[in-house]
Amino acid sequence: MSGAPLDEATEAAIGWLVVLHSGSVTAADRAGFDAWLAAQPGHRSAWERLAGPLDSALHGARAAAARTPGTPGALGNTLARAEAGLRQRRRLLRGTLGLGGVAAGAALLLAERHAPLAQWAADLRTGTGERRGFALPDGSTVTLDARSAADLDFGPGRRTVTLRQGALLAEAAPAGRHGGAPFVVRMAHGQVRALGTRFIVRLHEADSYVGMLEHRSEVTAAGGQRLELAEGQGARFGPQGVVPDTLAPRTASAWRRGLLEAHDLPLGEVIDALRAYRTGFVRIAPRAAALRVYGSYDLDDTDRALAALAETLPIEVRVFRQGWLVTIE
Amino acid sequence: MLHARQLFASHHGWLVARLQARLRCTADAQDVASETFLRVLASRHLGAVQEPRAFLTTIAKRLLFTLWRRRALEQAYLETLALHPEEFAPSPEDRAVLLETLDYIAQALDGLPLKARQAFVLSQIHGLGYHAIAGQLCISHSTVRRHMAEGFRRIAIALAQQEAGVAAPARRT
Repeated sequence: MSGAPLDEATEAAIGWLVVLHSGSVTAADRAGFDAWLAAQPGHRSAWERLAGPLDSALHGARAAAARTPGTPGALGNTLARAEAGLRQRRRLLRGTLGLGGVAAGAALLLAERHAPLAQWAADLRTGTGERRGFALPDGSTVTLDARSAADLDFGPGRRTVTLRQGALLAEAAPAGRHGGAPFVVRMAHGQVRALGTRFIVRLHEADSYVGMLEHRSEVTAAGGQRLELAEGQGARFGPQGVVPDTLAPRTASAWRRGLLEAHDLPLGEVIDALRAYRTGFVRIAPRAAALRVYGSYDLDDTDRALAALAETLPIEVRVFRQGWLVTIE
Repeated sequence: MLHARQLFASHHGWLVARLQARLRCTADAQDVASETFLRVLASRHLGAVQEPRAFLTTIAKRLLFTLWRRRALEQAYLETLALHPEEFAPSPEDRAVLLETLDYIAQALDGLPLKARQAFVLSQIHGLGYHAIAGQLCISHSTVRRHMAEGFRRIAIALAQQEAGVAAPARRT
């Protein structure tokens, strides 16, 4: 399921659905809803396109549920019961159907990735727990996630951002305004060429992730393999080439909203993401790092995020020296 | 169409073998492989695919997961019903409708937290208000609202995709 953007009227219709199903609708809510419906013809049609099919999809089940009182939690319990087995199968899928094979040149890539303290000299950079937007000379903008760094190379015929560390979300201005030069984000594992677009890029140890939030772009791995990505699609690229990834771009860019969204992520990756928002050290045992995590976590309150993880996973989180050292076992 | 035929000729056997090695069930492997190719051939981006095997793998994984989810839900539903006294059990017709709808919701809301999907089911099938749902799931009222908004949003996206003819969630029976 992609994070395809919805139009404004549909977003408003979603808001009204939330209000009207609350179970405590006030007269003012009703009046507000009627006023919204009447305000523009587009509102009513957006409402009908969403609420109509939803009602017809659910109508049969609502009637069936009403005929069988006494088992209100049964369906919710069914979801919970199915969850554990499915989680395991999803993990199985990831491991076994994935394409293996590591191309040469990995060592070369790593050399650039580990250039000592390169990020301190970078043009754009963010510290621990900091997210920041930067306006670029051509009207494009980039937003850096916490503990990220990027260099700029802008001039006649060039619009290049080099990601040195972390993640960024780019909103590329159209090429026409800048002598037709394409907007390119480079990193050790390859590059992403925007075709007028909004996308997110994250640098990992072994490869990088790119997710298209709007329009399209072309991804080229360091080895030359290419893939064009459409809106809502994501891919990993690096020594293995370019491989479509099921991680939805909207999920991958949740940090922009201050959230970490984990849908079956290894705990190790979740902790990596939290580290960028936390001063001090977080040590995690390898067995704990392999656990799978589901849920949304608040990046701006990592204490709470850690507590939430400790609640749902079979781990022990211990905090030493006022949070300077955290161990997870 | 040449491209499509080439794609099928050079990768169909590979995909079936790959799935079979994993599934240990020939019929499932064949089904999933056929469905994968149907989806790929209907895709508008066929010409742009540079790594056909990676692309096929991605789609096959998604389908396989849909199939597994369907079975897991069926199994879990039967187990749950077994815990309740028989006089509360829905009729076979009602069971089928409820399961079908649960699968529809599980698919549209895939990736959302378990409690979000549970909240959506309690609200949209059982008609519970948010305060009752908050109590039942031990989450806050505002979290219920957020889960509901995200749930409706997923449904809206699924409907929009259906309208555009992209990856319409085909029903397996």
